[in-house]
Amino acid sequence: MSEQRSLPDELRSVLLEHSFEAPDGADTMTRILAATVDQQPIRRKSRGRPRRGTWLTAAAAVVVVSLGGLGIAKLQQDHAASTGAKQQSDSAAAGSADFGQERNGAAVRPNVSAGQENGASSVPCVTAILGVQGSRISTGSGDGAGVRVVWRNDGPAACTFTGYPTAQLLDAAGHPVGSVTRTGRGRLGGVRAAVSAPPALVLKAGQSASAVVEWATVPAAGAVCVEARQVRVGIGSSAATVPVATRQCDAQVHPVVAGVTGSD
Amino acid sequence: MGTPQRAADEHFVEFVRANTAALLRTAYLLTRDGGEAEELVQDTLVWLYPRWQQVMAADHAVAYVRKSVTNRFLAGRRRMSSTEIRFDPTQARFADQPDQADETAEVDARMAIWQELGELSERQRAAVVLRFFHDLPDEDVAQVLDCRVGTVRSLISRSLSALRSTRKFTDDGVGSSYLRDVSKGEPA
Repeated sequence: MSEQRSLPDELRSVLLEHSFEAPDGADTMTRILAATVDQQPIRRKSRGRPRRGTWLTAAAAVVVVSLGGLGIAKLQQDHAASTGAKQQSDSAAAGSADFGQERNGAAVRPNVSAGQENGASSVPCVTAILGVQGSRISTGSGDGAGVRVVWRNDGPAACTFTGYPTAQLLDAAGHPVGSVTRTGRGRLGGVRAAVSAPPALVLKAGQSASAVVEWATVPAAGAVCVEARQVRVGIGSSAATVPVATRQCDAQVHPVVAGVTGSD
Repeated sequence: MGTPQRAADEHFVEFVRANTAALLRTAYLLTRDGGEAEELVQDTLVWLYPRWQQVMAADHAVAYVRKSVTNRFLAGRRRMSSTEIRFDPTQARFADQPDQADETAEVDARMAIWQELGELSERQRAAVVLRFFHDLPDEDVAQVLDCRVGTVRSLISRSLSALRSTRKFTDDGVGSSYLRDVSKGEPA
């Protein structure tokens, strides 16, 4: 099927997709901190081609700072402790993720038991370091629109997730308007018809997952319509807020699936 | 070590941890090369580190650093242009204009857009990335590129015209408004 889309929408989508080809931020982050705060000599990651400049040498000469008790390891420990506490609270607040007509209360259902799929090294994605980008999408016929959000695991460890992202329709001031129904699939995304439950995802470092929130722009009989100006979609604190312009009727959110398309 | 420096260090570490991945994505879209993107982000943050209190004083630290990344990209390209032999992307083209009837036309068109983005000038590409990837208004793009709003609109209008050649797109308000603004004689 070939859909006729507007250039800006297509352009946003192309930029989003290719942005995930960027290098893993973890290595770069480590090198930056080593070259600055820790003042440790480090080696550039070789990519098989000569590098320009000698920025590390110059930086080491410029940066003369003693950091005392502040170290990366300490901060990482602090982060682990804080995310552990958050994991407990998120898990306690988790709602069900059954298919059907449940009205979304902005709850996420992390699959905290999914460690069996990936060993003890995985963490729930709601506590992981996720990069997030959102983009607007629409049906070719113009009577449906939505938002696709892509998360990439930017942390060092795999993370697990099963279910739906939080999805909120917001007015211009950021206040919730209306509600979003959880459904398995729709016109713009979701899981295949043969799948009866949200997939249990194991997102390795650098891998991406995505989800779609969609709505009708032309109301059917009995449709519930709202005039939201933003849609917020998130996994844990990793949320994208995407501006929208159309009226939203019978808004639905679909499960998080592997890949960047919002469909499996 | 004084308290301000320690606070700046803590802020810097947290900033790097929270934003390196996002900055790399922007840098990758600008440079279109993973190694160059890493180098650009590293170079920028290491350069900013001794000046981090200025970043902290800015209204939006991320915007401040993103502007630095963009400016270093544009300055770096100017430095490189006379010394490096750059890959000619036209040699990598394997698909002609996509056929609408072809089921692979959608993929071909997207690939064509990505390739065409690589053929834009660095300044045009920076304007497109800031406008359509970061969804910044023209005024903010102008601030990052240190130019007038009219110049930004001209850059984007020309970029969209080039990208339109990859496929027949439906008319849209964004492209049309840019074309209207430019045709009204906004100074470039």
